[in-house]
Amino acid sequence: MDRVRQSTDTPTTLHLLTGFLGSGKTSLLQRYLDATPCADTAVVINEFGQIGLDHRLVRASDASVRVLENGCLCCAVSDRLRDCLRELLAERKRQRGTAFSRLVVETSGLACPEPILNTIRSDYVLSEYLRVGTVATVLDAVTALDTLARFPEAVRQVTAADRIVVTKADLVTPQAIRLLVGHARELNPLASVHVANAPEHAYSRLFDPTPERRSEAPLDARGEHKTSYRSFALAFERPLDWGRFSLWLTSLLNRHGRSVLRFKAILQLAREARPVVIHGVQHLMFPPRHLSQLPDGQRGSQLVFIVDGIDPERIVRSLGRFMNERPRAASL
Amino acid sequence: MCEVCAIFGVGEHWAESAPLAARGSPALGIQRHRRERRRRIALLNRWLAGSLVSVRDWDGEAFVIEDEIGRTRMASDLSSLWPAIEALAGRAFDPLSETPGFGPR
Repeated sequence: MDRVRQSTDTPTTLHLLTGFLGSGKTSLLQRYLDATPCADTAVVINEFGQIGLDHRLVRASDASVRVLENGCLCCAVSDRLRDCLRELLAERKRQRGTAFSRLVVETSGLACPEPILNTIRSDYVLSEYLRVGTVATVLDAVTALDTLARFPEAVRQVTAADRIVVTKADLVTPQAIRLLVGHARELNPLASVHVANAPEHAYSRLFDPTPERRSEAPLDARGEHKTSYRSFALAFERPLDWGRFSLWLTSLLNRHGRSVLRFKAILQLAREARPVVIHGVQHLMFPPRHLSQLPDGQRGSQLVFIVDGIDPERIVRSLGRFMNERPRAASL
Repeated sequence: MCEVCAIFGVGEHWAESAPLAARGSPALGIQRHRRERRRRIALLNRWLAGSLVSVRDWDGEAFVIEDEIGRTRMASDLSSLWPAIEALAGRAFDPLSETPGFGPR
């Protein structure tokens, strides 16, 4: 029985650090480890090449480092990631390895986050002992705009992010930074965007939880960049029926899961006093959780979609039909 | 037990994995779980009316999908439910379609 197997242990938080090739993930990770007491941190680094180099850069730290070489976590080595994480957990259980209380997985530059998250969520051991924490995505200020225009993997890394960190900002003009930050916010208004070498940037907060907050991001956003990606926010005034909404959402993901790059909602439900937060990346949805109250300034339910190639109006009309209330456009 | 946990309180699907620790015991709230599950299946069958496919509960653990000539399929959770419905019905159920083939009527 699945429910009998449920562990009484508190799950260990696993953070994901992603970003395109050469964006500065390992340097950022090193700075994070330098800025944080890291003896209780286990790090798994995936490198696309046959001979890993990145891990040598973080060897000097106290963190326990594992390397998965010669393939990308999201495809070729997803089984090895699963085995590696299981091994780390088993060693901790046997008190042979590092007694870590958090895990950081640095992906290869070509990895899409969603299959990696799916590997963790779909494995019955990993899903029992690990909880996905923050997805942090690194953007190289020099090349990111071009990379985002050319490589869908880079876009998927941005849309899956909870936190976006712009690196190498000292190599470009302030105007170029503003353009990149604006584009990142267009692609993913759910994420907080930080510039790594800004005076106020705290490397130790790389994986801090992103608050449920309202942002200045304009929605529906498409900006100056001619892409098929759209982000938009919708609101319902009346409390939603959870059974009805979950049926609609699963039918949407069944048909359009690959095009719904990101979904997040804070729902006010008809028969539940506490608001519920749900979010997902493509087909992969995370367990709902309760909030004690709605964020300041929010009334009713708010839903945010980041989609690829779907006209937002189609989602508005569909929700209107199925929820018996046409949602209105909202800001986050 | 709240409505979300009642519907999604059992199993490993994203929508069914509300932390057990928050509820104390899986036995708590089981009646509400079953009641919410019945509500949802009834709603789904109203949406599917006219498609010649219907859904029923299998002991609170799975869904049985049946067509008009008695062919059945099982689905363990909501994510596998829709492909099973589509396989038996022989057509897609796209909620974004202007004529989705299912839905409120």
